[in-house]
Amino acid sequence: MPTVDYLALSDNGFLFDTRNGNTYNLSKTGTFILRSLVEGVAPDAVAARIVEHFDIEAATAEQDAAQFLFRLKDMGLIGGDLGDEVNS
Amino acid sequence: MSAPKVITVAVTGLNATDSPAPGVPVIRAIRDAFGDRVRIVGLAYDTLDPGNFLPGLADHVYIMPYPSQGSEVLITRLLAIHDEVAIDVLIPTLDAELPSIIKAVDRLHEAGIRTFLPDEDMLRLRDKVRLHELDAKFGIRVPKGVVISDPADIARLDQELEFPVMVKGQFYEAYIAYSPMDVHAHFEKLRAKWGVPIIVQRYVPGEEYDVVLVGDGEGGLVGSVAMRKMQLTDKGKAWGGVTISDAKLDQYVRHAVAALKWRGPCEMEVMKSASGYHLIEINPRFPAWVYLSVGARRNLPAAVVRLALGEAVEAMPPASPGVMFLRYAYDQICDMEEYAALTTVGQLHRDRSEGDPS
Repeated sequence: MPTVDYLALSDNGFLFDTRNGNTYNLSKTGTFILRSLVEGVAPDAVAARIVEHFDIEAATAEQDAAQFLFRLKDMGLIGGDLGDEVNS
Repeated sequence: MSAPKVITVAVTGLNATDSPAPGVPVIRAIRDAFGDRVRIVGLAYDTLDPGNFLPGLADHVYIMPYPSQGSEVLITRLLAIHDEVAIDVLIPTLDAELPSIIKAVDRLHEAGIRTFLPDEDMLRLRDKVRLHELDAKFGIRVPKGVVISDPADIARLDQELEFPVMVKGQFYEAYIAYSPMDVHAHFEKLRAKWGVPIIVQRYVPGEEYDVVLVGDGEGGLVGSVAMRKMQLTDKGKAWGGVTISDAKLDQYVRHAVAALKWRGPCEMEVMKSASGYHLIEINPRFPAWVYLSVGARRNLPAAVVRLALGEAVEAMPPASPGVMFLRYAYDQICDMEEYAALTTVGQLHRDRSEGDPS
């Protein structure tokens, strides 16, 4: 499981990267996804968790989760290991 | 040796405008740590330095002669002030005064004024004009640099460096240059302001981090706080910042401190690029943002006072990330009599203890 302990995420979606001081505002869904990772949910289980909490189709949840995780990786917020898992 | 009951600490650099000196935050940090057990002597270079007038900051303020008047004038004034207020510890905070004070450290110690500063060799090593030598000598990665005093040398720069480059004054200011013509323009501007030589450095793209630290002089790090600037003034000074936690940066800084056997306070400016960390500059004193170290529960100015007094200070673990500071401008109402005292006799006394010269 990749570690994201360098990310400080508040309940209202404010994200602080402790390694470099960068800050971000996440949407409600983005906060939910990243919170899931922080809590140790495997990346490939995130979509199912979204379906449990939000009233959307599984296919949409999978697409949204994959896109969001790809974006996090692209911005350097999550590491290559996680990206590999996401892309696999 | 144990600290006296009430210690007297003298701190220089009380300017607090948009390019502030570090004196005010250093004093605030010391007051936070020592409370009533410290008496502060502010050493200012201008009667209108805002730190002279801040309530609760300095018990005494003395106007100092500019370092450009010569080492002897500066040290004579310091010793004369010492005769009046018995300074236990001196913390200089300005680049321009450091060579004179460090040269006179033995004289100051003999008089009873203690310091915790780098020696002359360390001061020379971190000089901007020699910084590029640190890589070969100590394995500290720094951008390749060329020192030029003659503008004719600019034409040959491309034999040693690729453009763009950074053009830096020997004391302050730096500009990016994309061509020899740009270098010429910046060279003339910097020469007029700060004299020669001018330093031309390889441009390292990336993110800048600043680290305030205290070295123990034997290769150990007493404490450090790493910061990312969040807001800049038009002079590039930090107007806001946040502590960060980067294990690799910490390791890089520890290596530099160990290699240099740095003693006392300093600020390291480090650029993080795709190829790793590069030391851009070492400022051999506390930076103006040093009060952030108090917010991060690593009171580095207080540590320097204790080290100067000969007390043991335990090495501090790296500071926690996420502690923010924002600087603000503040209109301080001042007492005209205090201004008059500084203007006419060059000193001001607010001390409440006995034996005060006022």
